Amino acid sequence: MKKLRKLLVVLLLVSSVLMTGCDASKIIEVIGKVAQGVQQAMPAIKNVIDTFTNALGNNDNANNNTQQPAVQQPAETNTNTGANVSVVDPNKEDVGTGTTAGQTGQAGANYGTSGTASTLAAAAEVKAKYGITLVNGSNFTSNWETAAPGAWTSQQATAFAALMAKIPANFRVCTNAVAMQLNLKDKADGHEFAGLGGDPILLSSNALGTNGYITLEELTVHEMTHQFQEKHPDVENLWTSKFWPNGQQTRASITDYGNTNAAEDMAECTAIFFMNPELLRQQDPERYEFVKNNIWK
Amino acid sequence: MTRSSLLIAMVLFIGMPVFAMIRTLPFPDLVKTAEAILIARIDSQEVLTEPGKDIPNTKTSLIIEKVLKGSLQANDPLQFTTPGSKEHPVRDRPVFQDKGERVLLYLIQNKEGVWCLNNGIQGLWPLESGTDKTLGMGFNYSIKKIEEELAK
Repeated sequence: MKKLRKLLVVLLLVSSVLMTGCDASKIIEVIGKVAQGVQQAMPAIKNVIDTFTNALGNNDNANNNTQQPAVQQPAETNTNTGANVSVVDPNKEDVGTGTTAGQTGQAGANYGTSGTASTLAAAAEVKAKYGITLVNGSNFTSNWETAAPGAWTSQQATAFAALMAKIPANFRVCTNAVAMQLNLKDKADGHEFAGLGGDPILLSSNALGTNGYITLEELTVHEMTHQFQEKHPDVENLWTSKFWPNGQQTRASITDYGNTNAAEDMAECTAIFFMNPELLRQQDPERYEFVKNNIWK
Repeated sequence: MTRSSLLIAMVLFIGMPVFAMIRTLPFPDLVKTAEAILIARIDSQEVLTEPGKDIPNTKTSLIIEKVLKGSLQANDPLQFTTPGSKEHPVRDRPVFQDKGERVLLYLIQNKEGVWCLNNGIQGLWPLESGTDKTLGMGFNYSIKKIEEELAK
């Protein structure tokens, strides 16, 4: 191998002399350009070599590879499988077994919906990297709510992908799918929701964007916190015992909506922890530390 | 007017989804958009179980004690039917406390003229037992603040 390297260096020098007519400065310039080209090409060359190496079953160097692989990374293992969505009886009710509600003994409506996976490039990226399916939601009616069909825009899906890159994997894997609806409304009086937790999470595009009242990031983290609660009832119970002993809150949450109950309090604080951590730290250091140490890790 | 004519049937499902996130109205808007704001005492509660339904409903009857805004009158009866019960609570649905407890309600009328909570769960503020301290989404506010807002 050393002999080969020496030979290459000699050939490089000879060719440089021939090309430049023995002009020393030009020789150095040519060598520099060749070296730069080799340096730029190295990752691609390395990937080609790795591909061949893997194909031949030689993984000796696999653990030493610090470069970003050219091939797509495998998706994170999601706690929910079968991310392609889902037709569930929207009127089905799931009584408090703890499967859909973190708080023992509480019932949760099953917000199954039908929809199709978005074909946007950013949606494919989200699916490949994080195992989360972005769904273009269809009509949906439950006992209490309705949702009109909606679709992810490229901008929303790109923003979602960027958001996922900032979220800890332990938190992220609790979510299986996120459906974009045009709107989400109460059946009785028509008041609107920004989002509904569940699998899939339902988001209202009317609530988002310049004409909406909440950012995609804040809403998504809020709803994903509910999915986290479902997978980690121990953490939710700890939150409840700490900040809502005997069902009574000890002090105000970070938002008015967080004052409705312990679960929403936790979801609101986690969303603010992400959006404006300093605000939460200053207003409620104890809640800040809880989120940091038990949820956002 | 007879008592029966005063009966305001507010039989509705106050629909709030599991793990929902509502559009929180700013306090001035909540006060402004409510067609009625009142304090009521819970007079009775009855759990209604329907065959084939896993989750019962709870019928809560209230007596209005004080009206802060709107045309409803003190001593008018109110009635709400809400999903769930104490044994089977439905998460994130408005929950009325026990008989004898008091609540502050923001009400609007829907298209059918039925009274509903203004913006779902935001329209029901439980009052702390034995005091007038507002709880729920009213935790940071008070009856005095409502009265001040109404006076503007």
